[in-house]
Amino acid sequence: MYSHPQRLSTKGTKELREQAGSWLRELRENCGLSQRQLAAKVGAEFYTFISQLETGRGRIPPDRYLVWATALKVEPQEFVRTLMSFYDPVTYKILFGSTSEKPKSGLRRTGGVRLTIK
Amino acid sequence: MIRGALPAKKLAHGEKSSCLWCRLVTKLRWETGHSSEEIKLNPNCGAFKMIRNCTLAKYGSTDWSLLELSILEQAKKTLEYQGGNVEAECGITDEGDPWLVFCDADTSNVLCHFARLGSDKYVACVPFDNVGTTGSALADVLDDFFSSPVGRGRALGLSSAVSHGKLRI
Repeated sequence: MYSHPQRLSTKGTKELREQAGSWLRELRENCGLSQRQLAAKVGAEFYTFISQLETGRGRIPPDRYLVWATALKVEPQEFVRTLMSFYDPVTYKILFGSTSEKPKSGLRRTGGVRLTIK
Repeated sequence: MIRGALPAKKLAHGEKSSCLWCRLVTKLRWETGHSSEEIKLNPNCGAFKMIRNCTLAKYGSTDWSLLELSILEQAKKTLEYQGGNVEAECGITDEGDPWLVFCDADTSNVLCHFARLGSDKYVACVPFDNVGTTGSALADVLDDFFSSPVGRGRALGLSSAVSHGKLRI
């Protein structure tokens, strides 16, 4: 039977989601936003969703990527590309190559993508 | 069991933290000196208030109370009994409000999100769907949520429950 590699039951995928959460938290903190303020900017009805995402539970819905990128002051393409490295590493690797590089201070390098925080 | 919900504490000999209920009763016994039989699971019970205050003082957070956790655990067990394979995860926001999610254990998709906002407002909803139930009594909020089309739909979204065709809420 086919086993979907994106399923979070695998430890590696859980870790990736947690990394995504940490990354989102770092972006938010760099913007000087509280969780409640970010929730207001991205249109989340309850600000507790932000905390949930930042701990690696769940994922940002694709139809919210643009508003999130804007709220966190990140280029939308870079934002989505980095999220893809966490949410869909298989597709990401095919499209963009290795995901093994680590972020650097100031500039974040996630999976070979250089992210500039504005 | 709901992970991350209660602070770890050394158990006395022979006491096993095998489920939330056991931990709840054990903690109440430690904190109040009451026997298991004396402990009443009542939000207005002095023992519960004492435990909640002790927890706040000790751990400096407004984490879920034991009563709230027992209600959430019961909801989780109900889902599991009806065929779902549910995981619960919880956390606290930067303002100290607790949240808890039920995830499909097979896919880890978040099925529903519960939170307490401030001291007495509860929320049960599907993340980012902007549909949910709020109220001042957690048990009522859960009942309303799982009776609603959205809540029922999310519960039915459990992959194992769907595959077995068992889930009825």
